[in-house]
Amino acid sequence: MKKYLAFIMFSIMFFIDPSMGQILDSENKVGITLSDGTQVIAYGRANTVSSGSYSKFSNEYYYLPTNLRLSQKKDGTPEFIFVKYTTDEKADAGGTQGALMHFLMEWGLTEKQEKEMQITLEEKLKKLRTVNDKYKEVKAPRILGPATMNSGVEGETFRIVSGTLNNDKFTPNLSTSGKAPLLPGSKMAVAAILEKNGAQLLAATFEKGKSISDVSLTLSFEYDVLTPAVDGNITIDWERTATTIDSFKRVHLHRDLDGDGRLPWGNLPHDDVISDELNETLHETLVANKSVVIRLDQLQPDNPLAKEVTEAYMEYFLSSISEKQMATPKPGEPVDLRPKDPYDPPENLHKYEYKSNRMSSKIASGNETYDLKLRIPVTREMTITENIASWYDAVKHNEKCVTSVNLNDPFYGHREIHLVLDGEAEGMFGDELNAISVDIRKSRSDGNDFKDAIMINKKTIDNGELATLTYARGDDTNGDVYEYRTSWNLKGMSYPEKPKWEKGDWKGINLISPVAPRNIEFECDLEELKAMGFPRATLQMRYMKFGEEFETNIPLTVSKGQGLVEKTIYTDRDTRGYAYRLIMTHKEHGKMVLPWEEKINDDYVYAIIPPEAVDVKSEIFKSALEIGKTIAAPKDGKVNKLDTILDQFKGLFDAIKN
Amino acid sequence: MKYLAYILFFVCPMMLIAQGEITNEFKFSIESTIEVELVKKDDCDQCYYYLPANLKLSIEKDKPEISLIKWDKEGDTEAGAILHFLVHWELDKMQQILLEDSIELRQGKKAVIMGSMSVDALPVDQFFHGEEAVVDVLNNCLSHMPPIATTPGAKMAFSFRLDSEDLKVLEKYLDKLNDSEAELRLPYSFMSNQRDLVRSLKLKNIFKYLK
Repeated sequence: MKKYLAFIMFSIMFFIDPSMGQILDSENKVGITLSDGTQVIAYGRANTVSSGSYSKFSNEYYYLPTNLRLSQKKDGTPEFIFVKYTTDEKADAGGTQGALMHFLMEWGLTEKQEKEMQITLEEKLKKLRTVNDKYKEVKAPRILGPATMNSGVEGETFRIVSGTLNNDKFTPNLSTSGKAPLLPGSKMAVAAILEKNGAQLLAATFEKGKSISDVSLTLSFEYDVLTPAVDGNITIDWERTATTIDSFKRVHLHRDLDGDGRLPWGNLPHDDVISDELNETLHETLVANKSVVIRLDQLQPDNPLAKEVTEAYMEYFLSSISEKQMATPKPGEPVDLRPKDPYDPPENLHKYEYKSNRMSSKIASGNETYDLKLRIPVTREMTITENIASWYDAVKHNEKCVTSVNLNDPFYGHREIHLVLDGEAEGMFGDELNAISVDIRKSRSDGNDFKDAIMINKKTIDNGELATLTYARGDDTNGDVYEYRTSWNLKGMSYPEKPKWEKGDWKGINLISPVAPRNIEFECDLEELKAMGFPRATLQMRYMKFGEEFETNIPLTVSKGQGLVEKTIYTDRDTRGYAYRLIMTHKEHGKMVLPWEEKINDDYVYAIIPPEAVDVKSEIFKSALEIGKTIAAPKDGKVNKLDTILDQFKGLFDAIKN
Repeated sequence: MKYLAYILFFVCPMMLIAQGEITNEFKFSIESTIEVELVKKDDCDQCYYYLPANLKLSIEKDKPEISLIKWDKEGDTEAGAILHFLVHWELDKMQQILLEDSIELRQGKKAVIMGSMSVDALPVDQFFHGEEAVVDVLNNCLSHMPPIATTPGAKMAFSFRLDSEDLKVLEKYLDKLNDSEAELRLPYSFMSNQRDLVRSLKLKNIFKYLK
């Protein structure tokens, strides 16, 4: 009598994770080759015990991932772009060169391929029906779609294989979407920025007639298939088994075990109890004398796992004729036999009492055969790999996909406004000038107006820094006009008081000082001075500077022995000269101030002392003395408005109008 | 019934039998150069699966999928090369038909090739074997160890970054290609009988396309 155990049901309950999706039958596997050469492997769905069609092949098929390809938009445009870029500027001037590549891929049969797959599968199964009875019952086979791939697979499931893209120097930036997609139609993305050598290298593999490019992509997957684990049977000859057990007991137990001097037939019932150790020996005996015949296909008898399976079987059917209990401790042994380590129980923890009444009913049933069919899911791995050259060939003439660009969009352009300081102005720092402030403004046709300011001081000049402002063009279409105003920060004042805006030039702003230097030379005859009784002569000048009247004195002292002294003054550029007078210091009479005179375009003054200046009776002498008593030095050289004199020489100081 | 649990726990996946019971294995040659090992399903006398066969350089649209790009020293970029090729194994539709015909001729009854046998890839330390210096170059310059293809048609991509010295070794090798016995080896395990098998491809059959 054959008995079909529900091992399959238990195996499925134990080992099948409900989240696995469809269960694939490893025995119902078909390989199909499509007309375009695509190889497709399809598995039938595994019929479980609960389906009622356990031993039959399903007509529902699922295909493994295949046909890795470039994705396309709905309008058919491939989702691929390779852009080579360059700039007018060199790298050391902020320019850049390289390429950008970005593409999307997916796997799965196209609609056309699925239709062909369906037809080819039907043809294949039609062929198989002629050679395999199991396929005769497969009616109307159909491809339901892709097989479910396992999620949460460890390790890299999406890999780019490329000497160029995997080289940090050639490809400073590479990104992917990470894991291989588990569903057909789900897209993976790859994006890379290549520097110019990497770009040229990759472009060479694309464009120079090479059969493949240097970029291949590999997807790895894992999937589960229900696979036969054990297939066999155990046949028990109960009559023979009964005989063997009796014989075993006589040999091993019907001895004077209890030491009471009596033979086994006189033993108390507990002498028929078999310990754990003896029970194992009984199992071996039953197999050896063919009371129990074990056939497990594909398993070697000495395979340790086969041994464990058979022992489990033995335990199972022998339990139907015996009772298993905890063993009774022997006199003197501990009563509590619970193992300290549950994983390492002591020997002979149990005892087995074989029941003759149960044996009798088994003998009456004759031989029993237990069929064992066990299937468990096995995880398999697979990969698909493609090179992007075949995809590139399809898009290289598509301007939407392959192009180049010169990054000279004026939006991103900057203009520099250089400020150049006039040479004469540089010398003013420290003596006359603290700093120069320049404000710049530019209205934009779009966006916020540009406004900036810069200050130039002695440090700027000493460091050799180029005073520069940067203007970002953006969307400004009014690119040629800006304005600036300059403020000269002097000692104690700013000039002009209200600076005016002037039109600028993209060539640069030339900052010209409103004043120009004059190197004044003052000379006199020291002997003459001495003879006339003047130990000192002073040249007093009045001149316009920054629109104000200023005074500077240049003394010449006889005792120093210098007949010529020099001094630089700064006068407004729109003046041609200055006014001057001599202040003579007499050793007896004190200061004597001679009248003002003008000097036009001449920076040299020779002290001419009129003879009347030393004639005490002359009016010149008296006037000079009188004025000498009232002169006062203006603060910081700036003449009080009440004391100005240059307006007397206004005509001589008018600016030469251009 | 509790003993059933013992049985289930004791069964190891190593005992599994792929695609039904397999007891018979055969060898056939097709197109005079391709050796194919077949296994017959025990429950189907005329159903066959083929073990990995016909390992070769991939050809796509009549173009061999191999490329060698060389460059000279420029700036701070040293001279070098990038080598890239793809291999795969499969029997195409026509070859499977030829095989079926061969089997029918020998066995005297109709045969159906079900497809390829399920195999597992074994771990490898290196793919390339042989005495030539180029073998060391290929093993050392391989940018990634590609996963071994376990299904027909699945390609394996090999990419190498060679410096100028490596390139010299490769070019020297290309000059005496026909004398070489160096090969690419892919090891697999075959579940039934737990047999290992190796599929190999002579490097000269890969690099001949570079000449």
